[in-house]
Amino acid sequence: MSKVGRKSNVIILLIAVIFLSLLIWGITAKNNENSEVLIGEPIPHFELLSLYDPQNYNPQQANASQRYINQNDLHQLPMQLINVWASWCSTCRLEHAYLLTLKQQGIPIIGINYRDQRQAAINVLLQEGDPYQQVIFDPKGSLALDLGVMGTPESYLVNQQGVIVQRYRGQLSAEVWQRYFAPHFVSLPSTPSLSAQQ
Amino acid sequence: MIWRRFFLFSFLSSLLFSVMLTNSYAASSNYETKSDDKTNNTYAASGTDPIFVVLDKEQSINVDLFQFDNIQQQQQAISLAKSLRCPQCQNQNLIESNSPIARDLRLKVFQMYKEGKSEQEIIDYMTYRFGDFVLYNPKLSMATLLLWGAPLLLLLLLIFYSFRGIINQQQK
Repeated sequence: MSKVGRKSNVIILLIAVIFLSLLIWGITAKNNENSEVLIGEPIPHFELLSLYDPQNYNPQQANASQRYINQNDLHQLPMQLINVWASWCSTCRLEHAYLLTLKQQGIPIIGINYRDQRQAAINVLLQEGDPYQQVIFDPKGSLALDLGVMGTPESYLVNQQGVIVQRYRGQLSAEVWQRYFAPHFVSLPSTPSLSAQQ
Repeated sequence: MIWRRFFLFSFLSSLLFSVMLTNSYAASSNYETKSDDKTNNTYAASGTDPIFVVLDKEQSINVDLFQFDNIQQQQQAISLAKSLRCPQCQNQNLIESNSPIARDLRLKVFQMYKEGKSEQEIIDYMTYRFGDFVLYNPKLSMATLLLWGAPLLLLLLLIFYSFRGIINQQQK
């Protein structure tokens, strides 16, 4: 065997190693959950009914009597968590317990009720507790379409300028919160420290 | 010698292929999508709720009986919708899939086409919301350079090594 042949074998081996590492990287990097799409973009304009229609459900909340909600209601606070959910989504109900914990920690959450029936959604909130300050009723999925929602649950973090700063597809948990959402609250002076409670 | 290289190259190509597959969609089991059988659920059991939701019916009339201005417009709109992937499906385009989101997006494509929007405007609308994932023909960029360039590179390498092998054998 010539020297040249050995050299080309080394090159082939090198290529194989590069492709193998790329393969491993491709499998392990689940970059579809922590989506970069729409980050840095303003929240879309919309005008939708509140799920808390006074005729159906009155959860004794500050803005429960409000009938219509638009994009301006989503950035009244330094940081606003927006959570897309539905009563038919079992993962959302698993997530619900953690959302209630977030609410206790002082995180403001606005819900988007996605392709659901009003009464079914209200039943969930009555039976399992209500983590939301306000819920936007989106039965046709129009706002969800503009937010690029692929499935529920999905969560967005919006700053006071109305810009999406973080997005997550899937169930929120303490681990996910620490990794993707908590860093955005660190710089805020008036919010309770979240990292200390984990 | 030639055979060993041949096997090595086929091994490498299959590796590359699996990289493409896993990169194109690593399925996440962590979120749910709405299918028609989920219209009813335990929480919708109260007597006042309709079992069949009228909205879906409206939607399906809008989409399935969409009125185009002419046949050419219809064909172009459908071929564009076929080049866009349904965001919540593993591998179906906007025409094939009947999930609610695919129907909505299909309707959106048809409407935008009828309004006279260009194909690029429609594609921008989709990628703004859902990312490059919806494109069956990914754009050529730094991130996709390997995806586009690797098959060509492999082919060139294969040709180069095959020729060299033949020449080496002839010299012997």
